Parts: sequence; structure tokens; C-alpha cells
Amino acid sequence: MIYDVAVIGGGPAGMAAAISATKEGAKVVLIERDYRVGGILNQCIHNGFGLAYFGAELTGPQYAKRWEDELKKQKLDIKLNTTLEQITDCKKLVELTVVSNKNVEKIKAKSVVLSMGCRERPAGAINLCGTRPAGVFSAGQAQKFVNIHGKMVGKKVVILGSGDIGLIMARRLTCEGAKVIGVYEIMSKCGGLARNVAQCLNDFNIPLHLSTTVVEVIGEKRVEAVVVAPVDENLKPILEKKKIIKCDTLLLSVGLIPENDLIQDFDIEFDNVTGSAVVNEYFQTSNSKIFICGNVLHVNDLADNVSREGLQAGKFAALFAKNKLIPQNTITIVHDNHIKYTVPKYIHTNSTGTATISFRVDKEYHQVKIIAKSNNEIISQKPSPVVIAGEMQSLIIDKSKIKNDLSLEIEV
Amino acid sequence: MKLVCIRCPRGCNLNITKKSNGQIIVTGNSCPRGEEYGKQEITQPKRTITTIQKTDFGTVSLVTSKAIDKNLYFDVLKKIKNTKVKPNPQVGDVFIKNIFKTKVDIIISGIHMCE
Repeated sequence: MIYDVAVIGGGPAGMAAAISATKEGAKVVLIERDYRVGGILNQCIHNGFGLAYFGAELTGPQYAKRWEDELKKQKLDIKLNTTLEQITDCKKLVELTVVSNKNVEKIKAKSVVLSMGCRERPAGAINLCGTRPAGVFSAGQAQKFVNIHGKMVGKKVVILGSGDIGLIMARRLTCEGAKVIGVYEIMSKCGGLARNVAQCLNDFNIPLHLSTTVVEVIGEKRVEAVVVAPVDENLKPILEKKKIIKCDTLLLSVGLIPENDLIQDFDIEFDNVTGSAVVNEYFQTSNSKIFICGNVLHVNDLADNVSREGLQAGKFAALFAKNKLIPQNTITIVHDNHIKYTVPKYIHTNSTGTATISFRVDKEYHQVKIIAKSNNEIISQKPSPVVIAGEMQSLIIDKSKIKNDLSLEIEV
Repeated sequence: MKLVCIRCPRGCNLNITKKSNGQIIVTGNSCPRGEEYGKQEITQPKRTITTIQKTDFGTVSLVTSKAIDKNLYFDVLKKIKNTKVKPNPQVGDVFIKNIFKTKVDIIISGIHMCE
């Protein structure tokens, strides 16, 4: 059997992609390595999901269940406990080698939607000095232990990095009886959302130390202490001012990386900034059979955005499989140097409808205008009181207004 | 009084002032939810509380049916930890009804199995 669309990963992106591809009339298979769909949403038991899609403040598991219920109304094959080993390009088709708890299987599909999400940056990636005792966890790993397995990770906790998962875990561990001594962030700005500083740190009097980092881990079998030090403007630790903090646990919330190892050997165009494939407005990579969306494409701030990308990618992958997606007149979206990257990078002028351009800025700007120009004319713009590097921005473009070029600018 | 609104990821900076007649004025919000939050926060702060309870198969995750008096935060957590999960729990089940007579229920948000 040849599927029209194979969706890899059943988190928020994959569930949405499988739903929209099936609704487009495609024969779809969804591959998920866990025993259930939902992905990381299942361990994100905090609320704050679903405002965009459901107009409600849901927890991660509730948000996942709403999509799962919709998924179960569709006619498609869902393969649980199954992981992807290899993707092979067979000209007209893509062959997937998947491994389950029962067998190894080859699946053929006309198009593939990659929706594998991201992984956490580990201790080894940040040159963490000192010993390697038990008690060093990434924040999401600790989240799984605590929320899914019901096992506590420690009693006196230091958190390095102020990403949202780190802030959420500061509250979570406090609620489970641990003492969270502080959150240390090397940058001068918090990495997570302001509301998470308010409700996860301030509510519990957990201090946030900006421009400060962990320079050493101390401990033989278990973490006994960490050494922290402030950093100068070049992010170099000022060791004369270092301090020893006794603790038994160090949580790392130091960034997320798209989990796209399986396509890195593939001959597709990559972007050094996102660390993932480059796409057009259909979430299609330079290999026209391969579509990619959600956090494996670029790390998003909000699950609702990931779902939106999934719905788009699934729909266009289905259209491609049915030979109904024929992009012509490709233009490259250029941007000024306030903008780090755009998703998509390419857009087409032979079609109508709207396209959402997502992007991140390099640093904080106040009272700006986000402007899209084509043929030197403004075709879309949006004022913003503040844009920050930590929050993804977006601009909606009416594609019929695009001439032969498209540029995106931040007017400061 | 300055506050960050927690009702959506946008995190608006709210400015809250109380007039002599008792009227509360919220500015800096982008939507009605911000005004509602600002007024609530300086009169009686409330939070949605989420946690888990262990079971023999893994855990169930739990959430308050709506935001609850912030002063009850740790009492709610303690009450949950002292309440056992009944056999065959389902998502949406009421785990504790009308906790501390607040008209807020504790709801099962997810069932989580682990090997």
C-alpha cells in the first residue's frame, strides 16, 4: 500500500497535519513513538494552552485531547509505539523504515510531513565545568520524571537558564515540596515569557539572577553544590565574584534544538539560524516530497502556533500527493538585519490567499512597525509597541499583492 | 500598582490605580481579560492550580476547574496529595468536588501511564 501522506510524530504539529491531510482526502499514516499521541503536551500539565484555537485556557493534556478527539474522527492509520529509523528518497516516492515493538516495516508515501518536534540542549553543549554527578537534569526531562512518572528529582534545586520550561519547573518543583534556590540566566534578559516570571517565580519568591551563570558543578555521586558567577558584557564569567551555592539538583533550561537528525544527510537546503530545513509558504522543503512544520522546523513559543503550522503543512502535503500543488514563480523573501530569519524563506506569486510570515528579531526594539514591501510598495504592515528576541513575530501577507519581490523590514 | 497580566502569553504590563470612590482603573491591557485580571489581582488574587497525583500505573494530572483564591495554593496541593485516585479514572472526572467550599472542583486533565 502506498500512502499519500506519512506524518512523522504525533505531537501538536503532527496531529494537526494528519487531520488536515485526511480532510483533504488523502490516505494518511501517522507514526508516533510513544504509546499515545500528544507528544510533549502530555507532560506539560500547566495551563495556558489553546487560547488561539479553542478560546480557553487549557492544560497541555487537555489541549492534546481536543486534537486527539478530532484525529480519532478521521479515517487514517495511526501507528503507535513506532519510531522512524530511516528516510529514503525513491524518486517519485519516499520510503520510510519504521521500527515498532512488533517488527521492522517499510512504508511508502508520496509525501512526508516531518513533525518530530525538538530536543533540549544538554549539559555537554554548554561547556559546563566540574564533575558529572547524578542530579543534573534538563528541565523537560525533570518535567517527565515528576509529572508522568511521579518521581521527584531533588530537594534543593538550582535552575540554569530562564527558558519557559525552566520557569514552569521552578513552580512545579516548589509545588512538589522542593526548595528552588534561584534561576540563573547568562543573558541580561529573561528567556521566558513575562507572565511566567510573574506566576512561576514571583508568586513563590524565587529569585531570577540575570547576567549570571553556573561556572562549575561540585559533587561526587550526587550534586553537592554549584558555583555561580556574574558575567561581563562579553558573557565572560567574572570569577573573582563567584559564589558557592549548596544544592542537590541542577536543572538546565538552556534552549531547544529541532530534532531533525534523520534528514541532515538528505540533500535539502538548510538554514544555519534555525538549524533546520528551509521552506516555502506550503511548508515544503527543497525536496518537494518533504514537508516540515512545528518545532522541528523552528522552535516556537506557543503550541497553538505549532498546530497552525501543522494544519497548513498537512493540507499542502495532501495536495502535493494528488498533483494539485504546483508552485511557480518562486521568490526569496529578503529581510533587513533586525530580523534573524523568516519562515517561509520562499513564496510564490502564482497563487492567491494569505501567507503568514513568522520571524524572530535579533534584539529588543520599541515602537516599531513591521513592514512587508513588494515592488517598493507596502503590501502589509503592523505597528508593535515592543518586539523582543525571545518572542516570535508574525505578519500576514495577501499573496495576490506580491509582484516580483518581497522584503520584510522592522522600521525602528 | 504595576503588574504583568498572566491571562495570555502576551503578558501586558498593567497599571492599576484605585480611585477615592473605590473604583479600580486598569490601563496597559490589550483586551478585556487584562482588565478582569487587574481588578481581581488587587482585590483577591486567584490562580489556576495544576499538579499530579500518583497511581499504581503512573499519574493523573489535575487542574482546578477555575482560578482559586491564591492564599489556598498550598492547602489545595496538600488536600490533593491526601486524596486517593479511584480505580479506572477518566479525563474530565471530578477528583475533588467543591474544594474548601470554594465552588471550585479539582478535575482530572490527563491519565499518564509509565512502564
